[in-house]
Amino acid sequence: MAYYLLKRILSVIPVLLGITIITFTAIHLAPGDPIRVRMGQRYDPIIADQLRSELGLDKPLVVQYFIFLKDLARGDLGFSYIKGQPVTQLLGDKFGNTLYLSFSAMVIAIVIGMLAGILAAIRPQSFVDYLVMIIAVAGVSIPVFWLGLMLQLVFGSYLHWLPVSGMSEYGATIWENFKHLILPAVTLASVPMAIIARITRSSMLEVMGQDYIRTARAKGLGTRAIIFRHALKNALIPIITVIGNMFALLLTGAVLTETVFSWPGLGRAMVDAIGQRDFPIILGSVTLFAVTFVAVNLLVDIVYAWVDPRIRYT
Amino acid sequence: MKRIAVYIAISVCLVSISCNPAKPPESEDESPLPTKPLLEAVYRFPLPADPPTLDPMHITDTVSDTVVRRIFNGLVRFSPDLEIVPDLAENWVISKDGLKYKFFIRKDAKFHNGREVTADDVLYSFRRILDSKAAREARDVPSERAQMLFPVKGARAFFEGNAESLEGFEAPDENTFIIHLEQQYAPFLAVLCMSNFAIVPHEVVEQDWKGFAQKPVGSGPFVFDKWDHDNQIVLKANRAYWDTEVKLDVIVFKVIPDENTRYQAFLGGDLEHTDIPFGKMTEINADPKLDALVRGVTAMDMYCYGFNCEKPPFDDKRVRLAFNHAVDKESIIRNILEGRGALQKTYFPPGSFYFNEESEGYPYNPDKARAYLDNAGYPGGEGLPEITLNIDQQQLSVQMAAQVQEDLRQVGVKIRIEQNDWATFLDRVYAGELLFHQNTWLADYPDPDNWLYVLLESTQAGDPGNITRFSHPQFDELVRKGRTTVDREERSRLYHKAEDIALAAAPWLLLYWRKNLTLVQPYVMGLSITAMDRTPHLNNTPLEKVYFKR
Repeated sequence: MAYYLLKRILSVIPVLLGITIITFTAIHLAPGDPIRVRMGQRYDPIIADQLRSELGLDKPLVVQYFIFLKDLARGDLGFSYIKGQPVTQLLGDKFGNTLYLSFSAMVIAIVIGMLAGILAAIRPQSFVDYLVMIIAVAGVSIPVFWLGLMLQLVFGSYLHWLPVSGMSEYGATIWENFKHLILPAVTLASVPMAIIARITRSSMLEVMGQDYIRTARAKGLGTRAIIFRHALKNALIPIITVIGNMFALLLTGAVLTETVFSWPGLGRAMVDAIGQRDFPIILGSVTLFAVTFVAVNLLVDIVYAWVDPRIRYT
Repeated sequence: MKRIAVYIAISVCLVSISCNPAKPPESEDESPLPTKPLLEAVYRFPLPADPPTLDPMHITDTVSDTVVRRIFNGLVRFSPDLEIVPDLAENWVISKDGLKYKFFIRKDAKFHNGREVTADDVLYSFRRILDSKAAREARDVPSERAQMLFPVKGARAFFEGNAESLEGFEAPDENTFIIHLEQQYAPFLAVLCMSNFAIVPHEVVEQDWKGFAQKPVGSGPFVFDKWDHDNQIVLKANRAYWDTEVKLDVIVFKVIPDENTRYQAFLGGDLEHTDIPFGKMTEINADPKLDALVRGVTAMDMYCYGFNCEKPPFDDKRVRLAFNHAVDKESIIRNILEGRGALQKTYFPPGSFYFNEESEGYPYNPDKARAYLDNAGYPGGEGLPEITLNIDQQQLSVQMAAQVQEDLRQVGVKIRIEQNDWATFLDRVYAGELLFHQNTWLADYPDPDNWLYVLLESTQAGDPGNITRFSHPQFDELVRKGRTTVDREERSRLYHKAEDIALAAAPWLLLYWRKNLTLVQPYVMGLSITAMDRTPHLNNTPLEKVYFKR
């Protein structure tokens, strides 16, 4: 297992190299000059040249890339061209915010999605089953930004129950700040919740038809014990796979939700940086996303072994 | 199974409990919107983006400008009616030859750290903008607006590292600051109202030059408190403000990029003002309570199209005039902008002494447009290639371009619309690649020099600002003379003549001046939106006199 882990961790290096080369090339091939964006509509070539030189943009691209790699090896992602601040500091805060939002969304998606899936599976073809599946299809089909706007309209503008933007409020209590999380987390949870509900249903349906479940019933075990102790544990493998992939996707794909709810997350920072041609932020966030993706996948593999002791890695 | 249902029911209840019950409705005559009781007078101010910097010398955008103007003071500033009024300089004297500006600094002004503002601070702040060597030593970059001080004696040579000293600035005593110019420059005082020329305390900057952009210290009505990037910036009232008693306690700038979210937040009572999203004006007008909350003026904020005057077919002014007469701008303002624009008839905006009220612009007249095309050798548009119109990615720009495309089709011109992201657009338009393109400009200072010289004079072609590459020797002569003429009446005469030349040559397809219409909560008093404001930034609107009457 230790050897497997080490191998997986080392495999991140070529992945990262490949991703950074592709990203670096793509952002430099795209039209648009970060200096011009920084200077706005009052561009002076003398000042622009000085800025270019100070930011190292006058160096050959290969040199710029190796400087980036050298700094990356020291954990330094450089300075933002637009904000002038260290990228690690700027992205660190935002990554924490995205993690907080994605984790909350994932908890909602897992709890509600699995419960709904189980409910549908134990009463197949019933009203509950149809209702859960209709909601699940809607959850996958409704665009996130539309759902977000509708939730804002209902819970913010009409009912005035929940704040519609930002992550915290000046002078607010912890509880009041927590309310900022509810709408974006529910919005972000909608797609994974629907997928988890569907996967849980189908996986549970399969397991519930197995002989050992019939045996458990014959032994006189209660429904709760059968579902949670016997059926669910065995139905978990495909669910965990989906949860792992979904979590990685939530982290990297929260940009729409972050924009609609003005959540100061990593996805929004990356999209803004692309618009401003802020290369260090783009490279930094792509690197961070890549590491996260690999780490989550690794974690999923480890959880497999924990859930199903028959799975062993070499 | 029942237990599972009970768990779900409990979860739903918990979520419901977590939400406050709806606030009781306000009385009819007070407010149609909910107001949240706050112990302090907190002004929740929306920003469409996180400011790139709070260091005045690096400001190039309206968002940073909005925040910085509350923290800092300059020597002079604009009043709400855009006159130049004293700020840190209680008065000033300009020499007869217009080359020497002598400012007398207030004795009662203090920085937020408690130290008095002196002429040395003014000297330091101005010199810092030009001191690219010091910026480099501090691991910073030079000021992006250093060129605005190049009219100062020796400024350019000092900036480029060709001179050790800077002879254009002098601080003979604690309260006197003198600027020497290379040559007469009439708009100089207006230029000094830009937030780039705010006065900073030298010891704070010296302590942490780069950090100053994150934790600024000024002398203005509000003191920087906290910056939670991409979420909010908190400023607190400067209770020792030298100018006036600040009525608000706190300003919270809330970063909300999406206009619809800002609107919903305003309706939910979470903002004191907001801009109006595209397509919502009709809805607002239909609701008398909301309609009563709309404030704003026609801004010095232009939205038009530019022709590349160097390239065919737009090197022929008859084609440019044809395009101008072919587009029904009033229909665009009425149907697409929902009234949020004023018809553009001039090349310099309304709201200033220099505005030419008599200009008729280019009235909608498709027959006249056809006649111009005919004269130019393109009868019924025949012989004209398909022309690409480059715009940004805003929904408003797209709808407007579609209307222009249709209007031009009526006179036989085929238009293809191409959208570019802002960075690409800037790159291509300044390089002179684009033939027909969107052209927007918000005044840096309300002076015709900022429009007619910067945007249309021939030496400014390309990078400095004349993206249409318009060139007309007589026009050039007039606007150059306007720069060095101090007498207002004479300047006005020069600029009106120059504007007549521009109107006859039509380097732009005139469309509209934006109106900065803003929804403001009914309890907000003392908010004077100016013609230099874009909404929701309201960057030039003073907040120190704003108060709440609930």
